[in-house]
Amino acid sequence: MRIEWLGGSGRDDTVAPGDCSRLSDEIEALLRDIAGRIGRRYVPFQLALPDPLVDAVVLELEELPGSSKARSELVRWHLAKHLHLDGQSLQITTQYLGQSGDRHLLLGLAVSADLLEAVNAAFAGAGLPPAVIDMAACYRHNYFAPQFEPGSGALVCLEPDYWSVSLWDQSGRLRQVRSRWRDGALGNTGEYRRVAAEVERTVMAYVHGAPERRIERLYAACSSGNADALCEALNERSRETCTALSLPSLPHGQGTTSLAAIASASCR
Amino acid sequence: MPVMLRTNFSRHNANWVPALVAGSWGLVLAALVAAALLFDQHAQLENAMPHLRAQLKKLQSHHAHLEKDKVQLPPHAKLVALQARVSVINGIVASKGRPISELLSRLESLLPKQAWLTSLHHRRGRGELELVAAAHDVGALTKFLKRLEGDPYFSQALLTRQSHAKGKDKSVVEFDIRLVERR
Repeated sequence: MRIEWLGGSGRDDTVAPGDCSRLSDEIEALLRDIAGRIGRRYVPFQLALPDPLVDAVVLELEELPGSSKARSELVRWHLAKHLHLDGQSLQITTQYLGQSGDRHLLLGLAVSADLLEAVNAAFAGAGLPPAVIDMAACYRHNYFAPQFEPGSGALVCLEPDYWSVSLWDQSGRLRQVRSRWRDGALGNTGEYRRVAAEVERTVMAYVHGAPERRIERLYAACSSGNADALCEALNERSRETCTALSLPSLPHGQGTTSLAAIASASCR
Repeated sequence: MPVMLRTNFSRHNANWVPALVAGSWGLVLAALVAAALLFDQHAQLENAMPHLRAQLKKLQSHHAHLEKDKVQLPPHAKLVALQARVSVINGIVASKGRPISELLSRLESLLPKQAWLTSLHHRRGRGELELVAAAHDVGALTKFLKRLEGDPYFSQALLTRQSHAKGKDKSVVEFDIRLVERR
């Protein structure tokens, strides 16, 4: 990966879920700025959606639907039934992760169709079709993958406006993503401890879900905040020693939004 | 190694664009190389053209010369009739054997200088010759006999008798030889 330019939207406030028109304006303004910088070069645009805006589920299936459409419909049905979401208003993308024992693992991601429409409108407005729109956790997983030790693990990430934890199994397959918007008290010890407690509960719930499940390593990465301090908080609640990973940082004085920071740092 | 994630919400999956661009550039490059090769070949042909034209002119002149000196063959029917006559003659020669004049001419070419023929009897119908060759030296006659054995005119050369005769001042060796014509 080569980073030629790193920038932010110039706003310090967060974009709340449901505020689609404002989100569209924000992205379009950022894209117009970027389009001016790249000129006439071909650049495949990739957009990372903040984790709390995306619902992620890994289904364990006895039989895997053959077509991509059927897999999407299965994920839509599952989210509607178990998470009580309005299935018809969701856009779904899936990936087959392979087999675990006699079960097929299917990763499904869902995002609000209105939100995606707003994002697409922003790209269309800037005249730049996006090559990839994906959950930020997926970008992070791919970005940090070479640094992960073999075996299962968990990555806790602190973004300016949310935090998330992603878990993967012994074969390196993503099994769970959980995220929360932050409450605005950025980077104090109390917040790190609250995050660490929620991460512990998430890991415990995953591990107790099946006898073969374990989490052997803990990683922490902060694009906003102190990864070492977060690691300390995680170490207090875990037997495993947390490893701090670093993300490219924004230049000083730039405003930040998680959307822009992850879009810049992500790689596929 | 963790499983890389490839999920995508975008409708404009443009992952094929870099490959398409690279392929297009490859085609352009191939076209340029082909054009350069064609241009090079064209230049080579241009350079060779005067020499080729001169060679063509020379060949045309040679051809015209050959046409002028061309031997006029008889008509086809006449050639066929001639061929038939030659076949008949060949057939007669094959059945009757070679004439004595031809055989004598052949024997003369095979006979060493130191040897000579004292008698020759030709049975043409059976294709047999009985001859007596003489020489002062037995080596000359042996050489003659070997030449007869290897000659394509004869299928067999057999020494039937060897004798010594007294000449005027020197003794003479005589070989009685029986030959069978090859037909």
